[in-house]
Amino acid sequence: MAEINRLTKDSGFKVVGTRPPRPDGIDKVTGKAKFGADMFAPGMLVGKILRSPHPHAKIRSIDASRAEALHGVKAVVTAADFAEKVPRSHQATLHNIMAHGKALYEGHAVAAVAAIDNATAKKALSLIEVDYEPLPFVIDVEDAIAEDAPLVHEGMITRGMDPKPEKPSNIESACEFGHGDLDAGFAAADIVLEREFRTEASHQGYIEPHACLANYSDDGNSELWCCTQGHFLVRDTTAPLLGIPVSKLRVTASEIGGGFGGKTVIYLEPVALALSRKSGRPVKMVMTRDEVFRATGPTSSSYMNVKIGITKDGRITAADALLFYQSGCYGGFIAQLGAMSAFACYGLDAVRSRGREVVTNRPMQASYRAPGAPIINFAVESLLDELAREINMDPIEFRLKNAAREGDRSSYGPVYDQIGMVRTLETARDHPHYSSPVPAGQGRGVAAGFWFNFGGLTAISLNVNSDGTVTVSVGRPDIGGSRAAMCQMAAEELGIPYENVRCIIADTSSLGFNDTTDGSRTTFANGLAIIEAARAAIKNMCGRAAKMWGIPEDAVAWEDGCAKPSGPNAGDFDPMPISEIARKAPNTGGPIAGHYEVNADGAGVSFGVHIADVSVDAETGRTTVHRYTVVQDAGKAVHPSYVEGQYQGGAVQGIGWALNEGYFYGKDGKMENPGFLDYRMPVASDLPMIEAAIIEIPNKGHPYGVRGVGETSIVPPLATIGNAIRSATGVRMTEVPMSPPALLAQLDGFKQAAE
Amino acid sequence: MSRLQVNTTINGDEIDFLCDPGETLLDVLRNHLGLTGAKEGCGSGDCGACTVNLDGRIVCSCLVLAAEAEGSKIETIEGMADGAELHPLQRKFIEHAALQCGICTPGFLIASKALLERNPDPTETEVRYWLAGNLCRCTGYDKIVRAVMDAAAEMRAS
Amino acid sequence: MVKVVLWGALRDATGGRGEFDMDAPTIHKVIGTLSADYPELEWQLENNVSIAVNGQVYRDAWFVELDPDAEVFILPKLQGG
Repeated sequence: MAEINRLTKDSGFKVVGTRPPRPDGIDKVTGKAKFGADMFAPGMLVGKILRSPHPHAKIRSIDASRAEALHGVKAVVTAADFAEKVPRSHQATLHNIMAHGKALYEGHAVAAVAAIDNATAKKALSLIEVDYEPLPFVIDVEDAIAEDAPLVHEGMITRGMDPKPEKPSNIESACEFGHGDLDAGFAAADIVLEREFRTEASHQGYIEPHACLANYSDDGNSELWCCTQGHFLVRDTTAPLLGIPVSKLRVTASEIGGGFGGKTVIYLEPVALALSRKSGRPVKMVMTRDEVFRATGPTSSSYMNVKIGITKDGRITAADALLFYQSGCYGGFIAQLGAMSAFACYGLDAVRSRGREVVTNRPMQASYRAPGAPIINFAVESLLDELAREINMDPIEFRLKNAAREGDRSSYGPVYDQIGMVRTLETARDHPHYSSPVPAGQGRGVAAGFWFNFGGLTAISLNVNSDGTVTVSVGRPDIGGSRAAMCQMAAEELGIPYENVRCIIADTSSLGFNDTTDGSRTTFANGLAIIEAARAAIKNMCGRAAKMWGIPEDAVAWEDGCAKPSGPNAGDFDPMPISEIARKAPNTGGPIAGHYEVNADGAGVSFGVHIADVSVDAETGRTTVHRYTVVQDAGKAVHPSYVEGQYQGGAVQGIGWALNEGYFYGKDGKMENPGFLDYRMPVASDLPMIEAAIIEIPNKGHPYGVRGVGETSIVPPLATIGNAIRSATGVRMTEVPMSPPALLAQLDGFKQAAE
Repeated sequence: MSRLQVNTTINGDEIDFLCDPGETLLDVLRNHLGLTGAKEGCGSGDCGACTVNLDGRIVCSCLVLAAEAEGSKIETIEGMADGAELHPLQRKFIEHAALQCGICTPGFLIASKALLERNPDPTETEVRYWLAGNLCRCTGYDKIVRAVMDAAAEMRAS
Repeated sequence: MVKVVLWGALRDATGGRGEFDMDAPTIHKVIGTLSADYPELEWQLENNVSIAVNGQVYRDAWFVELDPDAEVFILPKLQGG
């Protein structure tokens, strides 16, 4: 059973670190909570999208006249209904939400209709005539980089290569990180191993398909309801695509049924708004599961080559990685992030990682929880596992010997400040899971992982209500229960009960800009702002008490939700509780509020180490996970239950990716498994309890030491499982998913490696 | 095609509705009856987010034609609490942090309730296999299983 | 002198040069100096980078003060999911 190991002492926290019920809990267990598809408007139309059946095709013409003439159809839109000129950073989005002259993947939106009901909308789609000229297409990353590969974008020359290539290719950009003398490093090694690794694309797999309700008004003021990880981002990206000013669009975030990065981008929103503008009525659009798989943003698939050299006593002398990440039809930043994170756990003298972002005729990739990192981590941590075996060294001791420490130059450039890699490894090594004997028939694997974590633009508002309760308005959707942590931090700072704080997610017209809920930053950045806003409110309230008592403001202190004289010399007054100050606020200066706007920086990096015990069935190739432990640094766990939840959830997504999840394509360039039956995510009967060990190494950049926790847990599982399979069977899997057919193909008889 | 009139009992109330022959029970619950607690996650019966209890059996309402519900008793998440009093399962889910985004929660609660009505003392394995038809992407299932077992214990004790 | 290191793809605009020494009291001055010498860099530097100062990563902070011997790394804009 899971034990929580909180390995640093609390320092006088009263609310932070406890496990109160989350404020939105009752609505979510009673079905009252409103998600993206749960909103309705009078006169609402149903919007549906016509999607390209071809993975790559010129669109010669679109004739929607028969659809427009169908009774019950109120509007049809194509690329022509969107803005012609948009800011550079929105170009790819503009072309992705609706094909401009060329369909770049099977499922690419080509046109859309709004009609009085589902059946009419479906019928209308079948009446739109599109003249396609199919073009040669490319799906697999290695095919895309081959010499004579069909080009996704004519004339595209790789950015970031030196010298600049002369021939166009499907490599959109190149990057390189690292330092030191690689040749000398490899020459100094006693053992050098080099391997190729391949991973297939996976999808974030959120249970809630994308959904929105758009209402465009004649005066240009528009409302949008959608499930998103960032409604400010939705506003600022959707408005220019429709050619309207940002202030005219008010976006409200619904409750969101999962995102994991996949809902930090827009798909339906501009289309629904354009349909609403054309029809003069509200338009609701909900994706089917099939559409989610074919036409939203999966991860990259990859081809990687990793080479690492070590001395006989386990010191890494050189490490080199070349990653090709296939990113779908438009390049992104995932190969860069992969290359940057590749060797980030280790302090190395000679290291190089080169990333190549490759385009293909697949849907444009989107972030998935620590984007880019799990993929290269599989390769690096698998190879390190092999190297540790070569010298018969314990895998954790091997990593400790090379762990990144304060003062080491990271493989992606900057020098590390205080970090927790060593402590995380030590905690894993000392964990009961690691010291327990490996049960007969099973194998054990270990891997380490890293993620950057971010801050970001944050604006919040904190209001003291007339009865002394407090409302906190934040601008980042709550995707996992963060509202509880927001209330806890406000309550902690103000010294009032948790129950007296309410946190709401405000719409885009009510607050300054807030970056998306991603990058493991919500508790960190919102929290930082809430604490500062609470401090501002406290200062204000001390000022009110000071006035009422007739003493200087600096003679008033705040404790346990009350203003008090700061010392015996200040005066003999009873503490004045927040409720009394609030009640008298109208007379002492008006409403009491604190607000804070910041570009929160100082988020600390975090490290994780995972341990897994697995067995493999020799007849079916099925891998069973018997025991799994996550050890990760949280800085300060504001609500430990939800921190554990992030560790467990990310680990299980990684286990699914490792063992079963992947995009399968036919020879026709179409996805063959766009549903949950054949895109096989873990279910409850696949798994054991997931032990979550929280370490707290305070992050100096946050008043309470909070570090981001949401993403790191998906980084180590692929290699952890791969290393466990190696222990259990003697087989080193170099391709993901390590599904039963893939394993069976490798298992030559069943070997229980003596461990 | 003319619409069909269907008579049912939903969460104890007699409800009759009109539907197209091709509409699913999920469509009707969500779009015509305002009961949006059941969710459409896949439309193909693979995720369990649309789980409701139909005449004592849990079903994926996306795979039930609305017309098939004629004369049936349906329980949805909206009927699980007794007025303002939450069912022990609902309380335990909140207490154990067995939900993160909450989209799968109604399906899990309806499915878990059906389990405990049949088997008030399930083992961890029995809970996991019974709930294998409900997908959760956020929690990794650990806290969900704990919540169900803790609710079962509380219900046995009372 | 502040040492500024530019990551790979940005070096397209500087003819391959990746390291610069300059007097710059803030990140804004670093951006301004580089943009003046290499106008092609300006949009990228203003919109598409994260900047690490002595190991601490900043995303958009122009007025972070720099020590006279600070090390500034200009990296791709870090994103999460």
